[in-house]
Amino acid sequence: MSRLRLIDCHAGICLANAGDQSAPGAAIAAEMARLHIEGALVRPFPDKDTFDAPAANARLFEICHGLPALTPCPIAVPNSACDLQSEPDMVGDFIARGARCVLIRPAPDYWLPVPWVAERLFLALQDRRMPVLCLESALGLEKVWELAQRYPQLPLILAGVGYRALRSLVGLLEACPNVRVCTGGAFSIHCGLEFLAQRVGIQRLIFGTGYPETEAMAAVTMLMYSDLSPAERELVGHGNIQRLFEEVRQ
Amino acid sequence: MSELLEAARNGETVQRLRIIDMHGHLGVYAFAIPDIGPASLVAAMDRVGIASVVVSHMQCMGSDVERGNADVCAAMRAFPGRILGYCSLWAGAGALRVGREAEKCLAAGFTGLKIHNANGFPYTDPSYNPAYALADHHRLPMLFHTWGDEREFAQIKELAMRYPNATFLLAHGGCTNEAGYAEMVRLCSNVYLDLAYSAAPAGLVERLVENVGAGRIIWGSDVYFFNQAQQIGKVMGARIPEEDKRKILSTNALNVLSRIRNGPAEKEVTT
Repeated sequence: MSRLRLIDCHAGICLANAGDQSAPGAAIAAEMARLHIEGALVRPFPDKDTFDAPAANARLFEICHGLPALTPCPIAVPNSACDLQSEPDMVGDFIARGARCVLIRPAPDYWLPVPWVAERLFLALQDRRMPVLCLESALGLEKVWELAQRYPQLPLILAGVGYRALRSLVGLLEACPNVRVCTGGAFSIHCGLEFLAQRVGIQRLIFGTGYPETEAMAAVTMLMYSDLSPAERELVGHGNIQRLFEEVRQ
Repeated sequence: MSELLEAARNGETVQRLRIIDMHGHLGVYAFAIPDIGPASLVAAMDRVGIASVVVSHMQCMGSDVERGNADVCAAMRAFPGRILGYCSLWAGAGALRVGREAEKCLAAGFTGLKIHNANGFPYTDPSYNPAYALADHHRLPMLFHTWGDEREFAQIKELAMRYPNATFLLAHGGCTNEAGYAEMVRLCSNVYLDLAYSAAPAGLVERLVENVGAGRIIWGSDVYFFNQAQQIGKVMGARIPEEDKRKILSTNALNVLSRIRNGPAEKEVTT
C-alpha cells in the first residue's frame, strides 16, 4: 500500500535560541520522517524571535539549502521606508533562492496591508504568481478579502483559521477564487473538509499542520480519516500546493 | 512506527481497540457546523474506528436542557451502544426539577452527567446536589467543562471529595494551567483529564502523561465542535508508549463506564 504523499504548507522552523546551526532543520526533518511527511513549506518561527526579517530569512534559506524537502517561505515586508530591497528585487531574490511562497505578517512587522503602503510588494508578488501565506491571527478575514479582491491573480493561502469561522470562511472562499485555505491547525470542525470541498471545490484545500505549535499528526488524521475520495486526498495532501509552486514565474 | 500511528498515518480504521470518545455533543450552536445529524457522527466514528461516543446536547450551555436531553435520548435509541448520553442540567430550574431531570435521564439509559458553567451557575450551586447524589450512588461519570480556572478547580475539588464514588472528568485538560490540572489529579483519586482542545498543542499529551500518568487521562474529542479524526491524531501520534495510547483511547474509559451501577450502558459498551 502506498502512502498518501503529504506536503505541509503550514510549518515553521523555530529560530529561537538556535545555537547549533543544524538543529532547527534537524528537528522538523525528524518529525516529518516520523510521520512520513514528504515536504514542507517552512516559515521563520516564532514572530518574537524573528523580528529582524532579513536576518530570519537568511537563516531560513541557509537551513533549507541543505534540506531539499523544505521549501522556504520567507517573510515579505514592503520597502515603503526604503530600508529594504526593492520589492521586485526582493521577490526575485526569494524565488532564485528556492522560495515558492512568502509569509506576510503586517502587524508584527509594523506595516499596513493597504495600497498606499504595500502596492509595490503585492504587485511584484502577483506578477510572479508567488503565493502569499496569510495567518488568520495576523491578518483577519476582512483583510484577506481586500487583498484578494485588489490582486485577483495573487494566490493567497489562509492558515490558522479557527473552527468557529465557517460562516465567514465560506463567504470569503466563494467571493475570492484566488484564496485557498489550509486544512490544519485550529480548523478542526466536524465535517469541515468535506463541506468545503463540496461547497468551494477540492482545489481550494491545502494540507498543513501548524507545526511546531501544533501536533502535526492531528492534521494528518483529519485528512486521512476524512470522507474525501483518494483522488481528493491526493489533491489536498500535495497536489494543490505543488500546482501553486509550479505556477510561480521564475 | 507504532501500530496505532501506522494505522492512523494510512487512514486505516482501528480494529482491535474499543475506542471510546468521552466528550461529544449533539445539537445546534451559534457558529456553523456542517452536518449535525447523529448519522454523520456515527459515519465519522466508523471511518476512524471509534466504538462509542458519550454526548451531551449543546443546551448543556443553555437553559433548554430538557429539549436537549430528549434529542440526545433519541440519538441513543437510534444508535444504541454507539451514542451514549450525558444528561445536561440547568441549575436555574431549582433542585427539585434538576433532580427529576437527572432521574428521568438515568431511567432512560443515560450514562452520566454533563455540567457546564457557561450557563452562569457555579458547579457548587446547591440545585445540582440531587443530581450529584444520584451520580455518586450510581458511580456515574460527570463531565465538567473547565478552562484551567482555579475557582473551577476549587469547586470541583470540593465536589470530588463530597461525592467520592462518582467519576469527575475535567474537560480540556491542560489547555492552560497544566500544573493546576496535575494538582487536581494528585489531590482527587476520582478525577480524570480529558484531552479535547481545538488546536492540539504540540507536546501536551506527552506532558500530561508524564505529569499525571496515562491511567488518569481519557480521550474526548468535543465533537461536533471539533473533528474526531483531528482530535485523535494527537494521541495516535504522541511520543508515548503504545500501551499508554491504549489506556487513553480505550481502557480508562471502559473502566469508568464499567463502574456504573446497574447502568444500561454497561453491557452495551463493555461487551
